[in-house]
Amino acid sequence: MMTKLRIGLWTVALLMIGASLWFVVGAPVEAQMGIVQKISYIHIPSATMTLLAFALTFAASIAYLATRAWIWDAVAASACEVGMVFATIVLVSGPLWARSAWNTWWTWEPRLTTFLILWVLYGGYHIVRSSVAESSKRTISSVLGIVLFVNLPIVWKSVEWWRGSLHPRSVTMTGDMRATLTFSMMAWLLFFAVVLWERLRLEVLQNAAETAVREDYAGEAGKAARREGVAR
Amino acid sequence: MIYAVAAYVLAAVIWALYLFSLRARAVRVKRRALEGPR
Repeated sequence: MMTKLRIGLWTVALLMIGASLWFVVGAPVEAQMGIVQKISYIHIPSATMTLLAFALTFAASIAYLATRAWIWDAVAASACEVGMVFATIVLVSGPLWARSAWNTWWTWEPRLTTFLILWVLYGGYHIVRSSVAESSKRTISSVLGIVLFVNLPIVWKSVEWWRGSLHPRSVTMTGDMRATLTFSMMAWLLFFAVVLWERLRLEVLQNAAETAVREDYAGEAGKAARREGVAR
Repeated sequence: MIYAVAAYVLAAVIWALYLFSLRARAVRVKRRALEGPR
């Protein structure tokens, strides 16, 4: 049942991504920027999914600290990892657009700088998670997941808070361009959901394997202790 | 034109690499679980 649902969701997500690319090709060419504006149909949804993923990491981290249920930590770590992939795509597609629109690959303007800091810090989340002791991994990750959330409103509001921002504050589209962006947003949202599910399955698998190994060790240790007891 | 195509191609490559890494990690975890404790 779950496998069928999983395959079904993957099929729908990939079909929607395919359709969104088809719409991107057919969408009108923007008068000033030309074809390079079509990068926004992947850049804007990826940026939105990044913020959504990190917000989910924040919420799941709070839930873990409140309940101590391991699944919330798994959701937080999974969302954070998928968010990092979306953030990487934002950082790759942005400069390609900027080269054409601003005549430079990169500029240290507020939105770009704060987003790069966001990417580095959430990358740090994974480094810390994989370096700390197994016993404190979940708690430390959850605290980080909550603390790092402070960056999200900074990225969001950076275009308003600092002067000299080149980045557009908001994107106004109408007609076919707006429809293409809306459809792309829905397609990437579904894709985010299925990839998150896939990542969460890996976390569940790892947890089951670790539990089985611990029980095996406990069983062996118990048998050894009993043997020792009998021998005495 | 080339920048727009490059953005989509790079995004596809990044997703392909990530999904491949997920698959590889799942296979490794399953294999280790089957092998049992060393």
